[in-house]
Amino acid sequence: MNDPILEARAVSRSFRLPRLSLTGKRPEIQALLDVDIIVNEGETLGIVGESGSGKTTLAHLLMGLDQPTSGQIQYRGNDIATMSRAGLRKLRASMQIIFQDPNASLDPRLKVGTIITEPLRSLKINTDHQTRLAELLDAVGLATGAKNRYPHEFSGGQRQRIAIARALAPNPKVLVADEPVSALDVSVRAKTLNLLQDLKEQFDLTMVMISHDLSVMHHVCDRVAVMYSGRIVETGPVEDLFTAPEHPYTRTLLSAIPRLRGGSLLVDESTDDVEGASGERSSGCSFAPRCPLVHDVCYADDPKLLSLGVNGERSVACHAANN
Amino acid sequence: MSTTLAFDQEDPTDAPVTNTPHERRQIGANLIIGATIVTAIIAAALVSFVWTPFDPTNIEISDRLQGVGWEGHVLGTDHFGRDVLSQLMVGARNTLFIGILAVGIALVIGVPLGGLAAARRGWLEESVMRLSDVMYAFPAILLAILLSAARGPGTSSAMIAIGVAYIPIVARVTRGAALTVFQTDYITAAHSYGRGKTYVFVRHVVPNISSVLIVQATVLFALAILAEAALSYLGLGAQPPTPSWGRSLFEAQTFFRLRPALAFFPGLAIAISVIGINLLGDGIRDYLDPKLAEKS
Repeated sequence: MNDPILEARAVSRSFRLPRLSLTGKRPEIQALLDVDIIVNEGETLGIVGESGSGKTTLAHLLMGLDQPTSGQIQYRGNDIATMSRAGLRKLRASMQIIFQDPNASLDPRLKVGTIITEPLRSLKINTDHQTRLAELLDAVGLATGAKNRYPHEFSGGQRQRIAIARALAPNPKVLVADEPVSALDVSVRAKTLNLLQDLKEQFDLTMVMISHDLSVMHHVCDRVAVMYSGRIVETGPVEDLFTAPEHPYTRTLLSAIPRLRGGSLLVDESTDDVEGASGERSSGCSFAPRCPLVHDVCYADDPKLLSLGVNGERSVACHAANN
Repeated sequence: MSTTLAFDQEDPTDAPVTNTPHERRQIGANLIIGATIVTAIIAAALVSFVWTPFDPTNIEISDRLQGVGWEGHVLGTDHFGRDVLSQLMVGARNTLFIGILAVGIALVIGVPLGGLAAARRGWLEESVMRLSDVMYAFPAILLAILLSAARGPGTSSAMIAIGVAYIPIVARVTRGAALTVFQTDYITAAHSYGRGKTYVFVRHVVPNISSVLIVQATVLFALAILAEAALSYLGLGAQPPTPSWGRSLFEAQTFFRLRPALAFFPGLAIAISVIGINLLGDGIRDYLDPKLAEKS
């Protein structure tokens, strides 16, 4: 296995909300709680979970766009928080992000050529910007003429490719893709995912792919981490996780994949929205109110993420699975 | 792989778009009418430097209160026998000067303040906004009276008073619009490749709120013209003998029963320029917005 390139160690992040009354304390939302995650060089790590589970917060923390309340993010063994200015600039160049909605991620006032070369100017990368621009447009399959047009002249899929080209401009090592296809038309999703796969090979990238869609994960990821309510509940290689999910939440997610000819599914559908998915937290496992396998211990004790089996590739945070 | 991803069909939107954005941009009727009116006012003001039909300050009591077209006085004469058209032409200088500088003061101070509030959030935002509330509650007229007391009444006092009174309005509008833009993904993207907040504000936020700012500036310009007229009416604006639309209106009031036309022309000049500037603002906004240009 390759070396870790990005690592989160016991990372927590809470957000303070505006105070409800003049004298009251400001309520806090615990977006992430004690998250440990390793991204190995060259792999595609999937982070999956429902909305509000902290996926995007984790992505922003990994990118250094936000600081954890506690814990540490390391890039190649160096703590991001203590990096020098020069170190940070290098870090910015080596990690780039693409967003869910390509309509919102491109400045509508700038031409495509300017948008894509903007990271080069910002990071003072001394290559010939026009040559690089032509390379990038070619890599994402857009015509060279695209550079003189505005983002709104393109379709959603094309815009996402512009965003990908911009992210690749500074030659990053890590590409974080935050729901890269969920805002796109179904007909161009597969195409965009294949493009990302090809670019990963071509540019030698490590990818962190965030999604709520397990079928997307299955398509592109090597390893998957499942998040629920601000913590990681299960990790493992994608095939293992799909064939033998351990955590009841993972099973729920898998059962939610639509199939053309589905057999009976493992978990009943009654595990809809109940309380507990939000940031409020009492003692015990946060999935307990929705869990079909719940025991008394689940309400009393919060399960830790423990590794399963011999090679330590899989871990799960569940009392039922760990016993 | 998974069944949901099996169809990898040709992206139908890949067909090249032939038109360039510049061919599609259209100049709207608003822009044409607004620009024509504003150009005419500017032209009148410029021409007045070198030529007016009569000397605008020349008093000829025997020719007082003559009607339209009397002996070459196209718009007649006022109660001192001065030529109304000449007075209006010179008055346009005063109006434009005050409008441009007052709005300039408001923009130059208000936009950075609003941007600062939107970018920094927290206690700084609170202090900027509460301070602007205090200023907002302070009427421009009162400020003008204060300034006139301190520096003497005149064009510059009126201009500063109007400009300062508009700072909180501009700051508020800027903050509101900038807050939305600061939330967008392209701002996060800019941070991800190392751009700071100042750069982001100037490069990404200001262009994207420019339509709001342009409209606000033209509304304020129009309001500044009215405010100047009001201040001149109260004697706090341009001092005699400097011609001013507001003072012409004020002086015409005395003779309204006798010669209503005397009040009509300065009033018309004010109304037309306010309309013209508003139309121009709308037109520029439509022209600048690439998305709107696309649809038209």
